[in-house]
Amino acid sequence: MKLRPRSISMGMLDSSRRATAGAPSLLADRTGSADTSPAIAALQKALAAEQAAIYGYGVVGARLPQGSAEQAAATTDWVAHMRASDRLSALITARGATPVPAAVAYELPGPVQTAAAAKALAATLEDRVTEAYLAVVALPARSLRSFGAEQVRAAALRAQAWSGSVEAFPGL
Amino acid sequence: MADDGLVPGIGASGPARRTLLIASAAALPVLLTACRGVEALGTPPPPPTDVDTLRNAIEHEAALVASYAALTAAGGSAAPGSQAGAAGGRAAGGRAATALAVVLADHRQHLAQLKSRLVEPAGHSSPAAGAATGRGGALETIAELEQAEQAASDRLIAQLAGLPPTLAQLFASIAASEATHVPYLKAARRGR
Repeated sequence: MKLRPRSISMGMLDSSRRATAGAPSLLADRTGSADTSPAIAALQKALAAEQAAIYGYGVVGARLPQGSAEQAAATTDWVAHMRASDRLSALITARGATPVPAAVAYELPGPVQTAAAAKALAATLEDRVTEAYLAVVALPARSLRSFGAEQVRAAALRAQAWSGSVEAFPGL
Repeated sequence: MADDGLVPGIGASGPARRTLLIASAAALPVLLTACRGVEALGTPPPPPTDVDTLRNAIEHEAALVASYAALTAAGGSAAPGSQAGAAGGRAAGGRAATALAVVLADHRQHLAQLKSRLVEPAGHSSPAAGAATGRGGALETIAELEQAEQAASDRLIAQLAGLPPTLAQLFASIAASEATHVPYLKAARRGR
């Protein structure tokens, strides 16, 4: 049986190591939660998107110039996703469900060999996170809706910073 | 059956006549109501909160569209030194003018989507009509527009509670879009 590494240093990440067979796509919805509650389903979906973003930012950071402002920005965004992931896990646990576990590796949407490709990947990751949080916005609970909307906005702002462009309807 | 040729209850006898008069009097308001239409039913109930919220959002969006349209139009022809000229027409002007046009296009899409969600009863005027002047007048500099964008984004997020799910998603998405306009315009203003 082929084992995947549990932890991978940023420097080891390489787009040529496009995840081993069976690894989930970085952009796939892999919640698979048995809990059918709409709130849990939406939170799990957002968590899965955050986990994919955390992995993806490792790839992004590895492809940006060492010590550059862009790499620092990638680190900042990576931390933001870690925090959001923790928050989502807490929200899910508080509702009696088990947070979906992160995959060890994800299949990248395409080769990431250059800084430009890394920035494009970051923007794509943020787009997926934005989309996932819109499901949280659809929930009736005021606190969750507000949390979801703030995260939609935060992700859209990060996407704008990476892509340099704006969209009329982020996530929709 | 009576042999006087009269239909029972509608004859000339006292009780039957009174019955008819009472019945007529009772029917009168209903008939009048029918003639005057729905208005006679009294003051219509206030619109649901989400309708008011949507109208409010449409008004604000229309005001932004008007401000961007005015600034974009002034950008190419305004005299140097005027506020509009400073905003849209100077050195960074090319980049700023492009950014203004891009953001204006976003706002036009926002407005169209918001208006498509509002079903107005016949006879009601669109809330967007005249809204551009009803919200404090057009903004004249890109810096003012940046502030308005941030305020619009915050306002939409603050209004999410109680909205139907799909409308809440639209509000959240537009709020995110408007927030991204701030750094986008800032970068354009600084020529980056």
